[in-house]
Amino acid sequence: MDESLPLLPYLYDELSPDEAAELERRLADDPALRREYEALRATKEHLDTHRAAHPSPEPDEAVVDAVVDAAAAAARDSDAARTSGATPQPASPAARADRPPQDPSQRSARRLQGVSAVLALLLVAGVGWWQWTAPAGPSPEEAATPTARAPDRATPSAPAPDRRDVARSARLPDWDEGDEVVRLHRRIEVIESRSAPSQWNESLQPVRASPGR
Amino acid sequence: MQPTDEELVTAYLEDGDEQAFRRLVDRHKDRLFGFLMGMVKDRATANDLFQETFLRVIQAMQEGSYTQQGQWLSWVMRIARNAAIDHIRKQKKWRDVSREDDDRRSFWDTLEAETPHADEELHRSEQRDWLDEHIQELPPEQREVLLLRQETDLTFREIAELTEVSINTALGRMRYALKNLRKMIKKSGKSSLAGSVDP
Repeated sequence: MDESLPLLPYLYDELSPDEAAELERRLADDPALRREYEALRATKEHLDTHRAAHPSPEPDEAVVDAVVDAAAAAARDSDAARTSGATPQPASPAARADRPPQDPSQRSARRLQGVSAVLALLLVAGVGWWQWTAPAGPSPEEAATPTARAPDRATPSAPAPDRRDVARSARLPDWDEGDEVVRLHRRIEVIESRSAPSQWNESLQPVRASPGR
Repeated sequence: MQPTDEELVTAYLEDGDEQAFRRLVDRHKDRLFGFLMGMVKDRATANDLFQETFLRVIQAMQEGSYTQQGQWLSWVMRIARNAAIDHIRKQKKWRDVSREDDDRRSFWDTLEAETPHADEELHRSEQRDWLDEHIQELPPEQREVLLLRQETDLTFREIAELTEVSINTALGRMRYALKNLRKMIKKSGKSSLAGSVDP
């Protein structure tokens, strides 16, 4: 090891008292080492003087505020995620080390939450099924309406869509699922089916000329 | 009694205490910014790197990546150093194309000299610029050790860990940095500023 290297930790007060005493003895005995030490010390003094006269510039206050705001936001997000239990949030090393054992009541509460979620899902599905199959019209055609609509939704970009489908979708936006609107829509479909639109292009017969009347 | 860095880190991470984080920043902002200024020599860039450093620090702390108990500042300095090195590498590509951005003083900077204490400020600024220019002339690895020791007060052992070199290498670089700086001071004829530069 270069014998002059300990001069720097000595210069910057990083040596233990014993190490410093040992180096001071060597400095007293070795003029060359002493000269090198003095040169290093003079340059360091220059830097220290310069630093004292010209303190380090500080960062802009706005930058410091932005950093602290970011830290506060991150802490809030982390806290919210931890509270909701939505996603497993990595904790600090200290927090992980000191985390208390989980309360058994918390475990059972978590299980109950799961069961509640399943029950709620079943309830929603049941209500939906009931609404879907509710008596909205007398004919079997009406009951088949939902299955007839499904392809329209699934393939909105199908080539050459039926004009009736287009008109229907214009009357009933996809996002409008209100019960009354659904029922009205089904009634309209029943009326349309009874009016036999496929015969509209045939020549109209005057009502009074109908032989059945 | 002042809370330690570690106590402030714990208060921030466990209690979400943003004031604890502000104290950490306030405690170390001058050292960190001084180091970044020494590395990039541009205030706006140093501000950007300062912010980038702390955003990385916050993210890493929230992810639980900070595991060096009792060495928060060293850990932050490592992140700052990486940010500065990334920036310098990008700048180097530009410098290879053009070196016309050496004079970074803007029009507004020149107006500062019109203040009542303009002469005094100018004199101080010249002295600071003069020494900073010499420090900038040092080889990068020497300049880095010098800035880390003078501006951030990290110990040589911490600097060695931070820069991933042996303690003797860090000491050797510092010794050459001081020797080279001394030669520059002598050569420039401003030895009066250094007191007894000559042994």
